Amino acid sequence: MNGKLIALLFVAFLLSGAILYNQNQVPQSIAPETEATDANKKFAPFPDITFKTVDGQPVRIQDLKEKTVLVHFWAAWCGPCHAEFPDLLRYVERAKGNIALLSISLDGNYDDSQHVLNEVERKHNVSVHGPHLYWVSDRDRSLSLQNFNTVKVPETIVVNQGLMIDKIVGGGPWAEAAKPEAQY
Amino acid sequence: MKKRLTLLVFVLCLAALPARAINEDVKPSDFNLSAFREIPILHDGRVKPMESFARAYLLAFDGKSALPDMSAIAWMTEIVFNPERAYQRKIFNVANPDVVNALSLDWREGHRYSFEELSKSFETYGSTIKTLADMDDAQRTPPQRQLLELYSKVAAYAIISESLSLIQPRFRIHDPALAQELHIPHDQDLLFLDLMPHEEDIFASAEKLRDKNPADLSPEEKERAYLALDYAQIARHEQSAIFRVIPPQWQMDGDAWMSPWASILEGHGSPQSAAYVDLWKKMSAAYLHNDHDAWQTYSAAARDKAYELAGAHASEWRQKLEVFYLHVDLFDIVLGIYIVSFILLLTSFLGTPRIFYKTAAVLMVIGAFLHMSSITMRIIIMNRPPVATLYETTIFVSFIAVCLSLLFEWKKRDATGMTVGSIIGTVLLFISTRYAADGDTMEMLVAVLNTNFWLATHVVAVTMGYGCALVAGTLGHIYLIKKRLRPKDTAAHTNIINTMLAVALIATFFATLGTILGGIWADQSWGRFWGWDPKENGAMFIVLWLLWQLHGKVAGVLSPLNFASGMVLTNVVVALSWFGVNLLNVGLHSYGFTNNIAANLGLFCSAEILFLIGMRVALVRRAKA
Repeated sequence: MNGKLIALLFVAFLLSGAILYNQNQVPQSIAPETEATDANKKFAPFPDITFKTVDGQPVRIQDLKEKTVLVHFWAAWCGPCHAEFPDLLRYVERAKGNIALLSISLDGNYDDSQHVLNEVERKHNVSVHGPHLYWVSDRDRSLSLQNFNTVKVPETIVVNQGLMIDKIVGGGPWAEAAKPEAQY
Repeated sequence: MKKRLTLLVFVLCLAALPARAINEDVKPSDFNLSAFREIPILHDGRVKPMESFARAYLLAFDGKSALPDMSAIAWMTEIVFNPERAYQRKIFNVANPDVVNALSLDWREGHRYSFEELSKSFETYGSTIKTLADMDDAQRTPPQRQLLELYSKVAAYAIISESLSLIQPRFRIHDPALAQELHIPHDQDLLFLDLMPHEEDIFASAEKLRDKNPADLSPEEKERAYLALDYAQIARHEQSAIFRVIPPQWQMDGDAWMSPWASILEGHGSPQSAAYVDLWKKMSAAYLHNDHDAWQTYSAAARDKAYELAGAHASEWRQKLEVFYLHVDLFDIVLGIYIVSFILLLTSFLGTPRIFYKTAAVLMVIGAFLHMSSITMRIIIMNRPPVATLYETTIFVSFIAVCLSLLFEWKKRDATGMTVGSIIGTVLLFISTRYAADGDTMEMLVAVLNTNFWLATHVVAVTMGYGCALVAGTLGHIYLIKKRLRPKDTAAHTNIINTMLAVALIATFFATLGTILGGIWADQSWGRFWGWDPKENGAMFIVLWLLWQLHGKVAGVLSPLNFASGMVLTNVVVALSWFGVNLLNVGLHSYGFTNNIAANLGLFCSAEILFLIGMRVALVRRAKA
């Protein structure tokens, strides 16, 4: 009788253990995605760097916390950068001050960048001047390489309240967003 | 432009290739590797510590988890930080003389070959490899298969060795004019990453030499050409994707960890990963300069940064536990304990003092405790039940068998239980060492197996059934031996038969429970309860066999001797169901196929049948006498 009772208790223990274990566990096939989402919710802060615009004006992302800042890397020799510029500038314009663009040129000679910007302004009827546009030159690419490991262009880091919430490699969806201020 | 450059550099190569400087003073084992071994890396679908990654590759190349003069982790530092030295180390175990012959290498004692030797041979026989790779696997001979396997190992070795080439000091420009022209500092260590912004200028500078005869080049011109050559060679490493040490940084990364090359060149870098890569740069410089203090500082900082970046993607304490698990290697200790216990028990049968028996009992309990600790560590590290691969089933089944044997020993105290436990523990742990030699024993599971509930119920129940059935089978052996050696000790015979009956009942319970749970799992996963899959048939075969034996015994149809003989064959039935069905390579359970298992399984089954026939013949002869 004792033996039967022990056997029954053992089986009950085994089954309840298995059920409890399962309840406390997320199947592994789903777990990584869930964990990834949780992990990415903890966004990293943008490093405290003081950029210097081509006009000599210092800019800190932390000083622009009330806006979403697009930290954009580009170069004059990069075709996709040319292609996205008109839409990107209109996107910032449509945001009516809620979004700022900090555009970092990787050109060895900033005159090449300026030439592209002039062409964009002339051909697409969009301004490259404005209070929410900051143009930075990284002629020796030390800033982009050492601080951001950025080689490919165009690349855009989206910074919201000082936190890096997204990164867009290649051309961004600037044309599609009807209300940019609502996007981030 | 690059094509034209290739021609130029090829000519230069032929003219004179300078030997790369190798830092012979760097002794990997002299470095403090305690932090480096804990750095997480994604490999084979699992985040693991660097120690585990290093061991998996050393096992794959050399067949051992350590070299005579250095540990696996020390060897890994040499590959990634000082590859030119590592290329000369003879670590590829090429056991087949035909393969060595095919590569026109000399057969040597120990049959270990270096990357340098093998890569040269593969370069010569590149077309042969391509032909073999294009062939259907069924048409390849075993040496051809081994040649291809060796090729992929050598390729993996090359890829790992190139992992950090973009952040290592591989360049130095001596000519001030060239440095000025390229806007690069002269007489300073430079990285590939430093030169990337100047790629166009570097190639343009070499392009100017295109029409010149390489032999007429001045030293300055040669420096330009070699700079372009080295740059172009390292640029080819961009495909290096095995060394995935950079945790996912962005939403677009998902769960994908990146190699330094991929992180930077594919646009996955972030300020945090840039800071992490910077620490790897500093580690690399410290290693090559033999600066042990700097190495310790930067490797610890890199480990901490890695876990900070990984967040929920890597659990630091689990990784540390895995390093500890690998370091203590408890299964080897447990195997040793079981062997010693078995020897002590054998001597105790010869009428030696009781202390032998007692020592064996204490050792068996310690062994079982360590065995359980190892399995528990694996459960914690992998965050899943302990039974999913063939390796895991061998260690779990042996644990179940040892526990059950100890339980019966505790009740009977006649050394029979412990003898059975020590035999099964030794044999199965020995088999597990063969599986462990294949590489990482904590591999990720195929999707269908990746569910904790069914692994915790169906697989655990089935393997418990295996363990109990093996105990019953081994008791059958002991019964036959005792019957032959001590024919008049009927009390002992009855004792064994009763124990065997109880164990067979427990085995039947678990085998039946496991088979039914398997059917329910199959219904959920594949939409049918039963599909006559070989593994399902194997499980049912064990249940039917045990039921037949038990009915025969309880109904009095099977005599104790025949019951014990049937139990001996239970081992064969379990072995065929456990390992044999994988040989068929058909059905939905063929996840554990192993090529060389057939011979061993055949040998085991033949031995069991021969033992049974031999014992029965001996018993008949003795009865007649």
